[in-house]
Amino acid sequence: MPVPRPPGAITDVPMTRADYTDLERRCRAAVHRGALQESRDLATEAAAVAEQLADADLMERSTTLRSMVLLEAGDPVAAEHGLREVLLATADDGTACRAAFYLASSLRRQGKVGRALVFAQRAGEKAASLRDSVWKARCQNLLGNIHLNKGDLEAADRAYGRALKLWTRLEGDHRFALAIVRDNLGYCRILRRRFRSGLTLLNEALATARAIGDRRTEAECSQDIAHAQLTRGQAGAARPFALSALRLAEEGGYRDVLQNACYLLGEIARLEQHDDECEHYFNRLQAFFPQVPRLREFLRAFDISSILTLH
Amino acid sequence: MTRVLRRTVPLLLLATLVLSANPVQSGGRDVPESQLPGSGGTTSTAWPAPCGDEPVLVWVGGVPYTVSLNPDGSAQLEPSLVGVWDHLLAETARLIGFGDTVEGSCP
Repeated sequence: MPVPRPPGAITDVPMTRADYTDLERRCRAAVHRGALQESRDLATEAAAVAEQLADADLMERSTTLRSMVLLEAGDPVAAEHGLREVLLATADDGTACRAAFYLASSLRRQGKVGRALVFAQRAGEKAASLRDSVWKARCQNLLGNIHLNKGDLEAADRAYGRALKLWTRLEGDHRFALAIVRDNLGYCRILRRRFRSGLTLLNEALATARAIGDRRTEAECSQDIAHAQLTRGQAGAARPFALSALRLAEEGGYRDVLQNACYLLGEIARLEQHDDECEHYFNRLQAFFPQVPRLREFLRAFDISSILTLH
Repeated sequence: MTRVLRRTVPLLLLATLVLSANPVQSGGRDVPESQLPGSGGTTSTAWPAPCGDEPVLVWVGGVPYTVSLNPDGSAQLEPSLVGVWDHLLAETARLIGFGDTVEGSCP
């Protein structure tokens, strides 16, 4: 059993494959808690161990691990780096599945949904050949996200439903994944204006995220409930959830949630005619986009809440 | 959808800046890897048919749509709901009066 080292503690001591596996496990655990900086440090350390061992298999695994962390941190461009090479070089179906999945996720989040679909399908084929239901479910959720990006809400709903069904049938503790899929499906239902089932799913997801201490998903669920209430015209009910999302995003460094929360709070304040508060949150949002100097004025002039999508 | 426009906002400039910035955000969250190993289950999965080539983004009446080619050669037009900023772009485009005809561009 390797002795856990603090992040960044690579030394001249010879490392083993067990050291790498331990770092990978701890990195994933940090992702599950939403501890992004810790997961980044551990992924960096794992890559250094793989390099020190000059182990091609571990180097490929460390590339996909790094991509996973970068995607969680909201950096899909950096996450893409190295995955195509892994996909071409690896002879292992598990590594190929991982590389294709994270490549699809990265491309999707860069708006390249056509290419994302190709790699998501490849990941799905690898998952099928591995007969791995977890990877199949993960790929179905990814397909749901791709359909959502394309604006095909019905197809997204079906894909999320398949993912949910796969995960609920599995033995073991899959609450981390279930919270994310329920959040995605709930959000999709809200966009389809199916408020009752959407809010039920979002509240279930929020309760699960809190129960397992997954602060990242808790932030996303809070944001999505705020959006749902705003969409229903319930600005007062939206406010506490938007504030909770903002606080969690600030604490965890979740930039995308922070932007969305600033927008939601600005819009809530505008609807409730709290001009100073509205100004404050749209100013904060404006700071994220210095290249668009009139964004604040635009948002104060136009109500886009009924046609927006978040994340 | 719109409220009273503040005339001091230079919309054309804004539209140019927003369009060039294109700060699109993603939709939905992908599930990162679990600490748990795969279950080895055998549930079958139905995969959708390939959508064909890269979808093309077009503007119709100021609203963004993606056009995808189906395997049989037909095309399908779907509203593009990729993020709040796309809608902001669409609304800007509609307000300044362009996009009434279909304009295509590869993403």
